[in-house]
Parts: sequence; C-alpha cells; structure tokens
Amino acid sequence: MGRDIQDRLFDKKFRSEVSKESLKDYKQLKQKDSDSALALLVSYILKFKKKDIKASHVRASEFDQIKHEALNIYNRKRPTKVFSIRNFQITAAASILLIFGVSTYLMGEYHLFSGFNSQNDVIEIATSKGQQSELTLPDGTFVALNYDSKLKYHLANSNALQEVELVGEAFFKVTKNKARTFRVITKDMNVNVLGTEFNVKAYEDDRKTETVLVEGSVEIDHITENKKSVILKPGDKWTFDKINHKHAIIRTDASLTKRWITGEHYFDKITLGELAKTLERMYKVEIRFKDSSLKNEIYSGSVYQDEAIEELFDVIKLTIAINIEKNEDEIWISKK
Amino acid sequence: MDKNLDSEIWRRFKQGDKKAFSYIFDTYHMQMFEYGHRFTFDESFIKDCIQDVFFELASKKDKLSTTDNILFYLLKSLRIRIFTNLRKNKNVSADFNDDLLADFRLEYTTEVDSEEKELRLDQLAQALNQLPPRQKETIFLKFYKNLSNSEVAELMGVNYQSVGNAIQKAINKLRDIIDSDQDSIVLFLRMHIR
Repeated sequence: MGRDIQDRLFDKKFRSEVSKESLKDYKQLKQKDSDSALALLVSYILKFKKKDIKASHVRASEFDQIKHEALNIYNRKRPTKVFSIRNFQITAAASILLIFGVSTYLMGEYHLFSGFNSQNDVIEIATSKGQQSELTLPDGTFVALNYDSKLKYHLANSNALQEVELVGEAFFKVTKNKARTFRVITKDMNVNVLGTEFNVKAYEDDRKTETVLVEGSVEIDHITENKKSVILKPGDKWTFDKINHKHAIIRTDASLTKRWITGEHYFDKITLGELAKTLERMYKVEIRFKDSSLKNEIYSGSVYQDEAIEELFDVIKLTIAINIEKNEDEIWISKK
Repeated sequence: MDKNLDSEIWRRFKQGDKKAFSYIFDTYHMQMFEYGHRFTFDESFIKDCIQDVFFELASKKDKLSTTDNILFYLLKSLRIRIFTNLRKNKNVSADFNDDLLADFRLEYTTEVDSEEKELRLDQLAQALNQLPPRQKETIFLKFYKNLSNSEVAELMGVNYQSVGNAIQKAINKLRDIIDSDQDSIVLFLRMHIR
C-alpha cells in the first residue's frame, strides 16, 4: 500500500506528470499499487476531461472600468465611504457628483464654473506641479492627467459630441461609441475621436504640442494656421511647432508614451531645455541655464517618479557634460 | 506560485503601491470570475461582486491582514461577498434569487474513446459529476487552485477535518466503481465460462 490517494491526487509533481500517455501505464501500475493507479485515473479525468464553462458575456472593458474605479479609490489618502457604480447611464446631476467625488480627494483642487442647472456646465479638474491623477469620466472614458495640467469637462449638450478642454498632458482611453464623437480641445488643435487610446501633450510653455495615437484612429483639426485636418494611425506621433508653425508626423513606439501613468517618464531624443520643463513640472523646482546653448543638448532615457532629482542629474551627467548647483527650489545648470 | 513573492506583493499593495494593485487585479480578476461563475449563471451579479471586493480592498488597503497566498485571499473575499450580496438581494425580491445560486458547477465529459472506456473513465466521470456541490468545490480549490486543506477549510467555513473527509468520501466512491467493475467482470466471466 503506497501513500494515501489524496496525497497523490493533490501533489503538484504527481499531477504535472500525468499526461495523455499515462493511461498506458495504468494496468501495470494497478498490479503494483492500486492507490497510485486510481489516483492516476482520477487525475487524468480532472486534468483532461473538465468541461469548460461557456464563454463570458462580460467584456474586458467592463473589467478595465472596475480596475480604474478601484484604482481611484486605492489612490485616496484618507479613507472615504466606498461608492459603487452599478449603472453607467447616470443622470447629469449624478455624474457631477461622480467626478466631484473623484476629483476632491485626488486633486485637492477643483472648480465648478456654473450652477447645476445650466446646459453648459463645465467641471475643471486640475493637477498642480508634482501631482498626477487618474479618473473615469461619466461616459466611461479613462483619463490620466499628468503634472500641472487642467482638464475642463463639458457636461454633454448633445449625445453626439463630448468635449473636453486640455492644457497640459493627458492620456485618454475613450469608450467605443460609434454614435458619438469625443473631442479634446487644446489651444493649437482639436483631436476628434471615436473609441481609442491616445496621449495629448499641450502645455502652454512648451514649444511643441503633440498627440500620440496608441490604438484606434483620431483626427486632428483646428490646427493653428492650418485648414487641413490630419488623420493618425496607431504608432503615429503628430507634433506641432508653435514657433515656426510646422507640423509633422513621425513613427514612434506608442506604448512608451503612456508610461508616465505608471511613474516612468520616457524621453526619446528631447532637448535638455524640454527636459528641464518636464522636470520643473515633476519636481516643483525652477531650472535655470547659466549657458543657454546647453538647452539644445539632446537627451534620451527614462525618469522615474520616485527617484530624487539629484539621482536623475547623476545619470544625465554621464552623457552630457554639465554641473549642477542647487539652492532651495532653484537648480542651476552650467557647462563643465 | 511562489508564496514568498505573494507576501512581498501583498505588503506593497497594503502600502499603496499602484503597480502592486495593477499586478493583483490583472493577474487574478479572471480567476475570480471563473470561480464565481461556477456558483451562478448570472455573470453580471459576479462582476458586481468582484467590483465590490476590489473597491473594499482598495479603500481598506492599510488595514488588511497579511497573506502569503493572494489567490486564496481573493477567492475567500469573493466567496463571502457572493453570499452576502445574495442575502441582501433576497430581502428585496425573494423569487429572484432562489434559482440564482446553482450547484457548484464542475462537470466532466463522459464522451470517451474506446481505450478510456475500457478503463471505466466514463463511469468515473459520471461519478464525479454526481458529487455533492461542496465536494466539487473542495476538489476545485485543491486540484485547480492548489489550496491546502486548512485554506480550503477557512475559505468554505468548515473545519479542517471535514475537508479531508469530504475528499475521502469522494475517492471511496470512485474506488468502489473501479473495484466493483473489476469484480463484476470476473463474475461475468465465471458465469459464462461455466
């Protein structure tokens, strides 16, 4: 008599060794050790003969939704009552509360421009320097807002159009809805969307405005001094230079552009001047150049949110010959 | 699954690490759904239960106990949530929920080829299909989810001993089939050779 059947049946090693071929050994095994033989048969059935439960009607996007809602709660500082949103066809009043609730503890800063009754209600959600946040809009769209950014959400006047205004940088994951256009309005362009993932960077003090399409399709129109609109394919990065009014599309690894949501900022060949602007937003510091030609040095690499700014400059110093001086909230960069 | 890794991930989750949250959600939500779906055909009910579990974990992250088996922790939370929500719904509408809770659905196919038939696999599969729901759930948690007897006991709210007993009962039933069949063949042959 060998070990107990239970021990075998639930032993990982025994179970993993059972294959479709194992049945051939059964008769021989049965003579030697009938417990093992029975464990073999039962394992075989459990492993290979289980009926699958029929495919689910719950779509992956519904779980995405749950994840983002839960993340919103997870990111709160102080404990608040758990709210559960069962039904997303909520009324305007309820949706104000939803965004309101989310924004209160995430951003610490929100403004309501007008009363609840007006048709043109706008809600502004803002992050300050050093602060990021994630939220789900009442229409199910997921938005991650980067440092020092502002998003104005227009409570929809019509079901066919949902508009948001953006100053700064945000990543959008728009719920698919063929009957409705989602529009991101920025100073130098509009982005029109059906259902897709994309990143918009439109800071007022940046020289360039850009949109990177991760998935789906978007149209860019209302470009400053340009009548023609542009349609992007996944992996396209559209940039607009505010000074010379040139715009261009380059191919890029789109998945990298949304890494900032998880705390990694990836830069592909940007100038030190542009990098400094991002760092100012991240670390709430002022960065000044003693020699302005340094602003044109090129840097590629990642910056991690939880990294101290000194550590980051140590990395930059490896490829660019600079000296760093820090006093209080000011950082001076000079030639080595 | 490396249990030590689980402890570390869970520790980070409790500290508010977003990556740990993402990892846990992404890794386990479908497993939770599959487990819950075995109790009922109502998928949106299970989806809501999973939502409740994650909302609760998210809001109480710093107060959660430690665990070295995240899957166990999540399945336990989900099971409690399913039965709590069922009870809540029951108060609202009695007739709605009576058939919401199916047996624990764990079925094995009995269509087998001749080789499998010779080994009585079809009869074994039938016997497994006829096990009471709690024995099926025990087998599911132990065989497919690698839980220990004490984890199964805690999850199902029974005592440690009865987990082993439940499975022993099931195994005895299966052994009877194999042995009795052997006997009946011998008997059959004797009768006909004579």
